[in-house]
Amino acid sequence: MSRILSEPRKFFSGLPDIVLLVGLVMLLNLFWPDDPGFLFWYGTPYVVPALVVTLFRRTLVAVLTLVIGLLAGFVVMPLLTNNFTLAYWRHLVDVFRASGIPLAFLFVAELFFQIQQKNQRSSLLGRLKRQVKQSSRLKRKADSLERVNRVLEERLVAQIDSITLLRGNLKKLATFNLPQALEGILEMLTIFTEMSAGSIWTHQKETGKLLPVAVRGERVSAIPPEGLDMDQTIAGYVFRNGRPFSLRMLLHDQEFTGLATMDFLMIYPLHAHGNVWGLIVIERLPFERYSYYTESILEIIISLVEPYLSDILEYEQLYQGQEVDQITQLPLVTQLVKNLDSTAIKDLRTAPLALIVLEIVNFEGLAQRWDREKLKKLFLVMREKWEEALEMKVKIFHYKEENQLALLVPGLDQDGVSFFCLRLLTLIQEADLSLEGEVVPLEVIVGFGLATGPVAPDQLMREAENLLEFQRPV
Amino acid sequence: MSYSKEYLQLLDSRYLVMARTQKAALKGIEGGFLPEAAFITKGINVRSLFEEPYELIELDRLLSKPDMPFEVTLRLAQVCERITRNPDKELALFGAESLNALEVRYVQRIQKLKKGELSTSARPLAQAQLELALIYETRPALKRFYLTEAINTIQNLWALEGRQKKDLALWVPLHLEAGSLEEAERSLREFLLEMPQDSEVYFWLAKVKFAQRDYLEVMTILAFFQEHGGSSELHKAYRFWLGEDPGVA
Repeated sequence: MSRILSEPRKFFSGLPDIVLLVGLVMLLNLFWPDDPGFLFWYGTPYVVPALVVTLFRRTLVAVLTLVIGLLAGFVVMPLLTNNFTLAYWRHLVDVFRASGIPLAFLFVAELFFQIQQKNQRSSLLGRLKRQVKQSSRLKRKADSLERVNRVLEERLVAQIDSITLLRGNLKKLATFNLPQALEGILEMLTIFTEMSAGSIWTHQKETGKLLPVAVRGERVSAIPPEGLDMDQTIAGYVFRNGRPFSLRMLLHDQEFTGLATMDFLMIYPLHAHGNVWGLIVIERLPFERYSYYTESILEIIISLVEPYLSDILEYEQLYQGQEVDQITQLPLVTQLVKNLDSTAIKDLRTAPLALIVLEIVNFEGLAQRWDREKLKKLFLVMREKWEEALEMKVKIFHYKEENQLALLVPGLDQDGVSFFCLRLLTLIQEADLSLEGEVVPLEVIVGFGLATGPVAPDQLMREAENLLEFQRPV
Repeated sequence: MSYSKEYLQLLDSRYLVMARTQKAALKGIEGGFLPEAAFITKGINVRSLFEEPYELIELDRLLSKPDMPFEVTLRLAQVCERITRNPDKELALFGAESLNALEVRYVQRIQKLKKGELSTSARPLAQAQLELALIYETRPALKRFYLTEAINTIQNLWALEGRQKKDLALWVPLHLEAGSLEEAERSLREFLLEMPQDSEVYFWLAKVKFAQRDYLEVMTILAFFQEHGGSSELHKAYRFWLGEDPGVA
């Protein structure tokens, strides 16, 4: 009742439906004017609207429909058909007595149905509430996970001292360009130590002083233009003794007394072929970074860099010899023989050595179309491609003829050399070998000789030449 | 899970499709036809920004995030700066445009903060100016300009509210970057007159003294921390300066 009073509009909103349904039954009943209320069928047609309304409306509305239906059937219809007499009412009572039980059944069934509906609704509501709570908890969890992911990503992308980054930077040192390599070393130090100023120094034989060969950042204090004295400065001391220096040593070590620091924070020797070749100097660091961690990182980086430096310096020495080709500036075969002599003794203690000889078989034919000098310069294009793609250090020389090139490759066995030669040929195919806008159709053959023990240079060269001979067109 | 295992998981023949975006990857995982690795590779960048070859898609994705922490923004700016020096012109243009986008973001933030009340917006404004100055590391004139602006902002704030210790976290780095170490030291000494035993002020002083190459003074300050508290990191720094064993990290 309270719901009817609180929401009368909702309650009575079904009235048009009720009137329509009951009206229909009454209209039907007019065709049987002798049986107002369908007493022959125990008044069932006037109950049907209530059952229909139950499907779409609330229980109370269905009850209202039932009441209206019964009133319509047993009061209004008799009035309309002039059958509203005592006899009719007696007959009605008899009918209800007979139909009371089925009607009662109907009501009880309806009641149970409604109760079940209500229970189901409660159960559904309960489940809905639980689902909403769970969903809200999941949403909070998802938001937290998203924040965690974000922080993780931010930490990962911002990291600068990762091992993969170190490896990437070390790979860049696999070049024969000394200034580029020194720049790469300083860049690595900048990344891993966060230094804002640093330099690499070497000893100049002519002047006997230390001079910077690579610099990064703004220098902290002025350096004399002629360089640093080997005896008066800490840098000179480090170079002579191969002993690293860190500023804090001044506070408790006596050996640096009287030597000029030049305001360098850290000085580490850089070795090549077992001797001190230069110095790495850290001039400016954040206060927090001046720590054991930075010193350890420096030592690790220097130890990783030194082998690369040794190879570059060896290669540089090679090119400083006078015997180079005027066009390509690559060393001539005489340098190759000298190298084979020295290398054969030194490197073969630890690793085999391969001599690979490449020959452009159609060089003479191509020389009729293009200038010989330009064709020779194609060797430089090949070298560039190899240096870019190969992770190994190779020394490149001219061979006996102008259409031949020789490579000295350490550390490969028989299978390794074969695959290496295939790789060389693939890289030549991928290289941009064009002259005057036209692709040069090179036909390249390759032969190699492998030394796994001490062997005369002649023998190695003969092996390579024999293989070339097999491949030359007849 | 190691990178190689994730990669193998992705190559598993059961997983016939590869999601293009992180949302699609997540839906694929929910549906059970993509492994978790698909979201990790699409949704999270697991490489350092500095690793080459640079992943332009990842750089772009990070660039689109408006509220990155400064450390990430700085690394992004450093990488973009490197990319501008690439011989490939298109790549260099990408680097320049990305850098420009970052700078414009900061400039707009600074302009918005300048319109606000000094007492509420001064600190965020100085912070934004400092961050932009650090991004302009390779452009000294712009870096100096923004450092000067930031210093003026803090000075104006102090003129209004008086000096506050919490501003040292901005004040000292500004002077360290600008190279005006005497000014930084002078301010810190004034703070020490008011709060003689304050560890935070001494820490900043140690930083300034280190930049000034006055290492004996640095040792004295570190010794102070030994007696008057200080974090384990500072105690480790003290042992490091003395040449002692660092102990457990």
